[in-house]
Amino acid sequence: MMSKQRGALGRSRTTPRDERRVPPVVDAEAARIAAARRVAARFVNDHWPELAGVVPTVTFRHLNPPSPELLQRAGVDPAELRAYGGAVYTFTFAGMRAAPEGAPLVAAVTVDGQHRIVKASVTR
Amino acid sequence: MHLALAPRRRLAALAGSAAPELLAALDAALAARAAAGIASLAYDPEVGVPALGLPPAPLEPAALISQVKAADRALAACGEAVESLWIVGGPRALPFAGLPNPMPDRDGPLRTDAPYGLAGPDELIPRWPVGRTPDADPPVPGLLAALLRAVAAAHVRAPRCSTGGVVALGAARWAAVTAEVLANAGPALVLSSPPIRSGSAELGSLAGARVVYCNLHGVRGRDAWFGQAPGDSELVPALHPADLAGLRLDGAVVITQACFGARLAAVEDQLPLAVTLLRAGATALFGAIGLTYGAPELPPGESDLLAAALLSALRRPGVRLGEALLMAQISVLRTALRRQGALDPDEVKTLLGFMLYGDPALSLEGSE
Repeated sequence: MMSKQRGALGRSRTTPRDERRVPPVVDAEAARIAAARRVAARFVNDHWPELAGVVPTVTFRHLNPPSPELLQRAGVDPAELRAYGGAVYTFTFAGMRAAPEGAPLVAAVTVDGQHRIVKASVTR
Repeated sequence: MHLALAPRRRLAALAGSAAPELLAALDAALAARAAAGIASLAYDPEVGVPALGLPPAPLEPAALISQVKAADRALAACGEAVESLWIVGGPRALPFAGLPNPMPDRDGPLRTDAPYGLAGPDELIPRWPVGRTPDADPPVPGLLAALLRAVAAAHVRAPRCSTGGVVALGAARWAAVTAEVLANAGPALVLSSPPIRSGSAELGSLAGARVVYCNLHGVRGRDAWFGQAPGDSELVPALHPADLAGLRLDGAVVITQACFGARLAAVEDQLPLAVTLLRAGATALFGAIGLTYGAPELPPGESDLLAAALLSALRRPGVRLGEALLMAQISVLRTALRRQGALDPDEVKTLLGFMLYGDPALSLEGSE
């Protein structure tokens, strides 16, 4: 532990260097997800107030690329696929409508790495 | 070769004293298929097909799927291919298969016929189209026999008797999306809910429609489908089984995006809308048993895309019902991949969850 210089302001380091610290890359990813989630939550609060306060689950579109077989079945040339730069997160907010009883309300909002809402879907 | 899974022994047991009538209706439907030139192999899964080396299978999904795979291999060895699979009976006779729910929406496992076409999480598009002529759950006396007689009549009639166009009933909240879905559907009468509500005289327009398209809400435990005003969260009943009393929808194809739209279980002691529509003469119904998804605003997404592609496919002269669904599923897949580069869980659920109630080998006249 560094000793504090006489007369200096500020705190000395109390957390040991390189111990009990989350790796920066995980910190950065968590921050991106949190920022994207805030964007999604604002959209959901604006469109479906009944879902305000619902904690969403997150899925990662960029981690599920289509297989060559699926592309072939769809008749899609891989070159046709629109490439999104970076991560794309889908936040699913699951709840119920105020009325009538039993009416589901689930909204899925997809946010890209630039914090743009690229898709939204809602239960029919 | 068009396969037909007809669990005769189970159907007879469920029908009780009405078994002779039911089996006669089944035989008539199969005969009508043959007369229409549809090469069919109908068998009771509990008996198997000894000529093809297919052993008997219990009426549970995993065994039935294995048996269908074996049938596919056996037919391939003879230079044939499975072109469609028709399931006769409700879930008490031959159960829906179950798949993991791709959406984190608390809807439970996906109940669907897709795996009988060998579709699943790893192969989203079935190898062959699947359709089911269902019974209610629990079975209703005389219902399945009536639906099978309708299937026979549809094959004999060949084209639809209906000369109507498309009648669309949609939540006002999604008016723009509904309009876009209908863009390539041909002439359409659009009823928005509200102001249309259950009991409205305008619902009489459903009679004689070629296609009935519903972009409405479904509610668990309620027997109606609901509309919604723009900017208003309240749902209003738009279509109730009682609205179909006295209406005939002979030859109509129904496409419903409503959550639980294809549910077969009675609700509030009332037959669900899917069953009521079929009993009113609808030739087919496309829908899902669980939660469904669509876009809140333009552009259309998920089940909107499926409905749009179905509406387009059903216009093709001579298209078979099962082919129309397959074409629509491929269209949804292609559109989603080109838009996004990958599929989201709501698209996967749309592809695997939407089913056909009807004979997949039935050809329609189309309207092009």
